[in-house]
Amino acid sequence: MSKYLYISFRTYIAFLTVSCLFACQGPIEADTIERFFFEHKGAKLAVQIDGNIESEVFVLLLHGGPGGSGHEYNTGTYSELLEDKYAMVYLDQRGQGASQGNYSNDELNLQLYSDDIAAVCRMLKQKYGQDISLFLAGHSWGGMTGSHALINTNVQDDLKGWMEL
Amino acid sequence: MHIKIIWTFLFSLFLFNPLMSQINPDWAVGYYGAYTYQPGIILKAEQLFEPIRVNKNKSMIKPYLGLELASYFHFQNNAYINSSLSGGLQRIGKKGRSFRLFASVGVLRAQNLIKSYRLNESGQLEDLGRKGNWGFFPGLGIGLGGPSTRNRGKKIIPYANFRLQMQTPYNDHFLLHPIFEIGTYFSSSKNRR
Repeated sequence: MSKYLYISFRTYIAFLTVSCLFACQGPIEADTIERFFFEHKGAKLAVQIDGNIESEVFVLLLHGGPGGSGHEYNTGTYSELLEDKYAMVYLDQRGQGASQGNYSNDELNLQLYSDDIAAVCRMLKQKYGQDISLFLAGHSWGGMTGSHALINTNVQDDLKGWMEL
Repeated sequence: MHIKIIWTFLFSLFLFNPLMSQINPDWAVGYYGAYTYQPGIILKAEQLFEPIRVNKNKSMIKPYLGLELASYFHFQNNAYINSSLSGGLQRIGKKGRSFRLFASVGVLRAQNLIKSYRLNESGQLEDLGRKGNWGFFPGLGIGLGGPSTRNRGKKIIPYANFRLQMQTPYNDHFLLHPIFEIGTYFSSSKNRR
């Protein structure tokens, strides 16, 4: 009996090892146009752009939470329909999702999140051209930070419209 | 910044220093899986010391010290490499089976696989290339398997560890990396008795 268990332990370890080697899974979404970090005031905000960049219509999606991620909105039927027509910008807000950085907890407030959003809008215009049509879409927590940004920053100068979900 | 580079380099170089042969380390290589499925590899050199306790049933507890060099990928954004000093206690049963409790301290380099951008003071977009950042990487772990005088006749000694490492600073706090490690030791021939 003990010899049987000893052999089985080796087999189990070997099976675990082989399983780990084949357990790797790539990103769920396909055809990502671009993925990069945007540095702003100590944070490295993760930005992913999928969809129809040639349309020159960009929708900056602000995720909910706090603690959510842009990736949560990048799967499913509606995202594919939108990406056929527009360029969808999935932003991971400060301290959430894949965003990284090094900053103090004392600096975190709603104004800082709004400044991040305004900076991302300016960055998109710099990167893809001043003639693009940029829309802001905020869901839940993203709606709160987006609304605050509209009132307390100059981001309205860069936007053609705003959707609160 | 330069001090961290020198620190990491010296740690890594120490693993391959010929002088290590004078203390007869046990070498190990293994799969280093962050969150179990983010693939990586670890290379270790460890020195087991004399037992600090021998029980009546002939089981014993030995301390050990080691150096580790590990690297793994996070598919979407980062590649990590870390160099650590580890140490702990290994309980060796009378049949040679081992259980370990250990801790590690070291430095971590998180290298971005994607580009970074920023707006400079005049509002122009700057391409920063593929940046990265340094951090500290302490951790705790438990494990099964390891070299001992009772299995030193064997060329391959399998082991499995589970460790919880902490990357700091990360945003305004820290990030935990649960890591599953599985591999094998190659016991030094001078230790085979």
